[in-house]
Amino acid sequence: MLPERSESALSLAGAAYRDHVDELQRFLARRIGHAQDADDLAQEVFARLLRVRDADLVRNPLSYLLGIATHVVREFRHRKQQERVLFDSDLADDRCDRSDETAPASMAEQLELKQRLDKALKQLPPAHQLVLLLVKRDGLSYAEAAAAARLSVHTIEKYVVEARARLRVLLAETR
Amino acid sequence: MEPKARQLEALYAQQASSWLETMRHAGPGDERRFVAWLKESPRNVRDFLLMLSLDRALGEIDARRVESIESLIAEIDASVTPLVLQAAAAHATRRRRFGWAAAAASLLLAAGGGWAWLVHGRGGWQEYATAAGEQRTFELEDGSVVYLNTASRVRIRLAAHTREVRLLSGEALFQVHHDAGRPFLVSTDDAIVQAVGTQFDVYRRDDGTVVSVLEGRVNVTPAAGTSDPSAGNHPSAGVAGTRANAASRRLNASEEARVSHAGSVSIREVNNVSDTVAWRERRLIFRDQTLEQIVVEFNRYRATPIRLAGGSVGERVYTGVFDADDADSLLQVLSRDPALEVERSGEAIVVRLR
Repeated sequence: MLPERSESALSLAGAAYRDHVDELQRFLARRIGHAQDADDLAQEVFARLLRVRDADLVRNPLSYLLGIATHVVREFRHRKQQERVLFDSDLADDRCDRSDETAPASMAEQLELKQRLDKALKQLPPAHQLVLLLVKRDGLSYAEAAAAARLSVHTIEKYVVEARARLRVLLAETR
Repeated sequence: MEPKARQLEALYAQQASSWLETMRHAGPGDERRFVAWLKESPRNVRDFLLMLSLDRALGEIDARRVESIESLIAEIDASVTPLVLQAAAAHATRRRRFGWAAAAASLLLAAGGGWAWLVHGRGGWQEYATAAGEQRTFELEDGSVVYLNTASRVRIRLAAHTREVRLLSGEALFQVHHDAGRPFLVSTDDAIVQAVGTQFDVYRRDDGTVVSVLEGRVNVTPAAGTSDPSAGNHPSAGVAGTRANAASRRLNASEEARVSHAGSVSIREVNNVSDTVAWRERRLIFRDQTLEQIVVEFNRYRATPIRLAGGSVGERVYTGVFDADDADSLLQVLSRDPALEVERSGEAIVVRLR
């Protein structure tokens, strides 16, 4: 599975969630490209978020969000197992979810996502590419990346935000 | 994807990406705002979760390390337009003071004819204008392209050592053809914008001038304190006067400067500078903007303005992408707000609180 990054928001959510979050990540990674498939998940997570008291949510929103989302993913999987049909492409997808990390299908999908990401990266403006490589590939802090690219920390942050948003749109289009 | 759908998608992706960044080091109040945003719609939840996942996948981007940091830096450096114009501009200005009327310019009209433009022969200045709802594109003789938005007026003069534009009203986007020997100067009553080869937007608002840079860099100098730059007969008076004004500020791509009538300049970074020029596709993009601001923008395109009745109705905040020619797109959104009442008779539209 993809490694934890020290800067990732996921790590902010706390180590306790890490294992579950991997499942969530597997579920979502395949759906970055065609976001409609993530709608069901989002609907359900949203409905449950509304039931949580704001005061509790605000204390650690990411943990709550990821906890709920992971839970919902598990329920989805469980439901799928209950209602087996002769053939269902979702079921085939689902097998990937259930398979462990070394299962070939899951590996292939991870590989495909990586290839698509690398391809999309090249379509970004040079400055966005540069910042993503420095921060995400080489693991530099924003301050280090700013020094390397001769940009301000603020600009690094802005480019990370923009580059990520552009990648998301590019991936949705190339699916 | 439809262009409009893509733009919306980009808008949401940007929001999600921005929240992810905020939550990386959440400050006081950020959590509360983040929760409020999540609870706004399932779509926000979806976009945030997907963005989180994408961000995580980015940890393995270019895992084989085929991309070179050095060559990217070299590529970026090569594309920066050097601003070596301070001296050249000062020189040109001095020349002008002693008799710049000698320079004559001619304009080539690239866009098909049929639109009204006035030609002012004096000093080689030519004037172009658009009516409410109209937009025009024209190419200048030097290869630069001017996109004129609705209800706008510019006066242009191309001389041997300078290219001058007066934005008399409205908004224009300039795609400047690189020519280091001839600075491209755009002035309003509030500001003078100087560029070499770049792309930038200038918008003369009621409360000042907004300059947004899409590519390259420009210098922005407030015009306040110079001798009556609005004098129609000497449209370059503001330009000539600015050399004494040291308040010139450098503006980079994705930055926006607001210059007030009084000459104060505030520069901010804009996340999606392309939103600024969405008007070229006759689209209006608003992020958390008040109804009052939204209606002002819409009305630029309308012969009959939309009216807001009652004080606080204008304070309501909306986000959306709209078709500038189609007030219905806005009214649809407004009609979903139970607090509002939209009254229509023919072209006249009044929005009030219930």
